[in-house]
Amino acid sequence: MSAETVIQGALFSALSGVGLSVVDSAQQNRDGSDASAFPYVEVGFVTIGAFDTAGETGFDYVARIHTRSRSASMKEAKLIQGQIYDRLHRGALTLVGYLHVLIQRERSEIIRASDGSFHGVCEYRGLIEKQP
Amino acid sequence: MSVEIRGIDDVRRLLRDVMPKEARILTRQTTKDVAAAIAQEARENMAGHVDSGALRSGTRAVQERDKDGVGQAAVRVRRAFYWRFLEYGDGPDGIEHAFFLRAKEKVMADIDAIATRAFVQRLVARISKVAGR
Repeated sequence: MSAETVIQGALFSALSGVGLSVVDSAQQNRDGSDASAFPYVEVGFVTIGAFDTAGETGFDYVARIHTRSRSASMKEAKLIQGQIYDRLHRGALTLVGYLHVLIQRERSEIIRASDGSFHGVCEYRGLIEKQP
Repeated sequence: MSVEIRGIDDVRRLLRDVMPKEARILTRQTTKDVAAAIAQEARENMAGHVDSGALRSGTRAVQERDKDGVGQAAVRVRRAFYWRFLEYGDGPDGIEHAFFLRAKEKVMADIDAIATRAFVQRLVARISKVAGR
């Protein structure tokens, strides 16, 4: 399996495990998405760079995790971001075919989307190594 | 006059012991050059996705206040407040463009070469300037 899907799968499992509603990328409103799905977390956006050494192959990635909330305040989105932090920051991930080295949060913020909902953005940087 | 410097250890020793003020100036300039490389890469990512030039022209590297004696620089966007919407996928097209994240990752993946090149260029320019005084 590719590193991209392995990382996404690990994030999906980790965040689903703490009771969050997790999707790859949410359906757009204009495609008939259901507002009752809120709040949810999107884990689809991952950028990957090489982290190779002489003897090993590895990847350095940044996963941008989006939190979508239609609560009346930012509190719900912030609480979800806290749950994500508690689970992921310097935590363990299970990766098939790869060794998890490290994951830690780099930044986090919340912005108001044009439809009035709240959009939390967290970026987690991680390192993985391919198993020999 | 000619000065010969061999290797990074020589450069470090010379800057630390002989020219600490010059070292501060050089680190400031080098960090700004790295930020400028990220801003340039982000502008290239925007090509074809942004209608007006406001975001492209407003994206620039700025020198910030030193922190713990180390030069700091950042990429900032002036005027084009909507950069967040395009960056995070809240724009009218609903696409997460990630201009800045992709630019940062690309530059940071090659940071050794980019920072060394910027440092050497600045060092040569600084030596020429000081020697010409």
